[in-house]
Amino acid sequence: MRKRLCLCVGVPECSDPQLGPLPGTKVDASSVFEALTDSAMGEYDAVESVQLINPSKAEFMGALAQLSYDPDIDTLTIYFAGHGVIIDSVYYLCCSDIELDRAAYSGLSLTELFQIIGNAKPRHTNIIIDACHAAGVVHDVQSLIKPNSLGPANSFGVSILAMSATDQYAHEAPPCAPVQGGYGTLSLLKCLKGETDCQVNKSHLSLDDISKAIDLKRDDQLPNFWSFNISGSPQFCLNKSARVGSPDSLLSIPIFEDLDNPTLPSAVSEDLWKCYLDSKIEVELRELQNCLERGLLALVEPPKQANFLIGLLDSFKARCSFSDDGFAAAQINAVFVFVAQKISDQAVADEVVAFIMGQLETSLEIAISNIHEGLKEDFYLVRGGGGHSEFFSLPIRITKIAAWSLFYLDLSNGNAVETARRSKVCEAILDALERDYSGSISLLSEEQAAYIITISSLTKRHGLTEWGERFIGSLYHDYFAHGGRVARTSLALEDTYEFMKYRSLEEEVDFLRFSARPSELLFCLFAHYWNFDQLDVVRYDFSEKDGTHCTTYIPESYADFSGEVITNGGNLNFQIGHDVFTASDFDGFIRNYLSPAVYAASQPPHAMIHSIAICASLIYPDRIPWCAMGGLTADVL
Amino acid sequence: MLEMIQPSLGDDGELQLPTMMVHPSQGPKLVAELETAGLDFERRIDELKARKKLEAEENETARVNRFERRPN
Repeated sequence: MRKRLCLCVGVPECSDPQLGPLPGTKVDASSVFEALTDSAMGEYDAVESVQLINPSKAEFMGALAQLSYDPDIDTLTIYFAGHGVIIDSVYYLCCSDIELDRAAYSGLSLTELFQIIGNAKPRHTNIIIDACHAAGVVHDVQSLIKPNSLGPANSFGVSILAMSATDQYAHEAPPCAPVQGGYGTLSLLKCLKGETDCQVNKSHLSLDDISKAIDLKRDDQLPNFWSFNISGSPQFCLNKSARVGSPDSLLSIPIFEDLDNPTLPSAVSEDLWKCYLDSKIEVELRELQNCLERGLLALVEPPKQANFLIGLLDSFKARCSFSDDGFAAAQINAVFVFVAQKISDQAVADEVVAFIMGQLETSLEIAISNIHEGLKEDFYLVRGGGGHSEFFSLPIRITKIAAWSLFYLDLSNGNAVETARRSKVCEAILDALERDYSGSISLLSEEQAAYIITISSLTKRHGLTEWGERFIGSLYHDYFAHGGRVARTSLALEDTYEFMKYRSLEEEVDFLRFSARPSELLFCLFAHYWNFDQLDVVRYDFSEKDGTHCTTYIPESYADFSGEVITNGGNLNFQIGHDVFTASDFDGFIRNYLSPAVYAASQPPHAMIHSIAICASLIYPDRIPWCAMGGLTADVL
Repeated sequence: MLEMIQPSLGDDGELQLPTMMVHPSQGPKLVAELETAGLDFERRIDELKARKKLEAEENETARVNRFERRPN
């Protein structure tokens, strides 16, 4: 077994008189060392790991070199508690022999640390700094863990948790407190011991997982975190806070043995790094997926591809936890699932997909629970709860939340107890949307077409047809009330105001600038009534849309439904008043053309593939998940 | 040639007649031929257009009647 080694350093006293004593750091280093080397918590090698109290810089570097260059090392964790200072924009850890007026010589910079780690290349390195101004390492981190700057060493993974921001002090509990130590470290220890719920269902926690859970409950000390890892999931410690279900329901992290470290082409690393930095605010999912696919292609070997995805997933999820979109983590997981489908070995791909799907479910569980709770507040969605509150996107957001909630319910298939529990949550969300946001149940954009098919299919599958009838019925009437004026998918933000003005006009206007023609949305609306066996209800409405062209795209296979461009599929088109006049004509079109095409694309029938296809259309709503509509394939059978 | 075409009605209820594209060198020649074709030719064309319009109106009525309408 490859080694897990830790170096825990506490520096309570420095020789420089400007730096006062920090007695708590000794307790911190000992406590962390004890927890990490406990076989029930950290699983680090208790014999070879090192604890240093009040070391000089030379002693620190010597111990670091000894551990880093161990030929069998897999994971290295460095913990530091003591003073940290920023001098001339460089962050220094203060060992006992620091001289502040000669900091460049006597201080320990991250650059020096990384020179050793980069040369030794443990598979993954965790660095935890509980010191003042710890996020000052950001200057070094930006340049040091930026993969392209690591040159030949751009293959290892690193996670850095800084317990305070650049302009903040790292505080210690007062002497009278029942538990001694730094607040950051105490919070870390709670995660290690399972006293803090990290909301993760994996067997092991990464430092990324812990960084999201650490809560210092102080405004004057905020932890910062960076991570970039392409070598499998970093296993910082055991997960003792199993949030979901029993320990049996924990996902074991797949490990793919890989003799040499993977190396990404510089261009791919650069792009991924850019995506990573951007993902703190808003994740450009298509860009991320394209980057990941290029990385996958470059790595060639399936174990390397698997480790690359599993490793980076943690990094991105931790990063996007800062995003204001409640679904950000679920969306990140989904993108990684899409890419994992393309791993060049089917067995490896299946294992990785199943693992990431498990995490997707957990992320979705958290997002849905938050929305469930949030909707109990007045105007939750209008105030930006769950993300996106703009007047244009709110109706789209409502449709999307309904579709995601139903998808969350659908993922529980096969487990009656879990299905019942999720069904309750889902129903509560759907009812709240209908009750509190009825004025915003509108059809504004073609991108709602994908959600409509998801909602129609899944409400029918899970016995929520009455809600589905009312909700889509409202959208249908809104469509006709506004003369079918809906925006095309991804309407530019600067066009939305103009579009809304035109939408409210009574006279006929040319919507070509804003609208998609032919329309996929009208097709989906009629298809919903077909799905619910209620075409009778809309049979007189075909004449109102005389001349309208409708279209939809069916892929060759739903196993590949997330690409930016889906090749080898085909369009199905009809024109109202030419090919289709009546409900009966529409029914014939579905049975003769749509059903056979969807049936063929759904082969072999595989629940996971269909779930991923639905997910793809929730993320990229320019494609319709017809495979979700059970009636289509059943009809052919 | 016009006999074989089935023009449809536009939004204004008038026939949507075909457009003939010819080489610039042939344009004046064609116009001259049409102008000298005589009254008989013009009368035939007018009759043909009237018949085609009637046919188009019948077709359009038949087409529109294929929709289901709410009973009054």
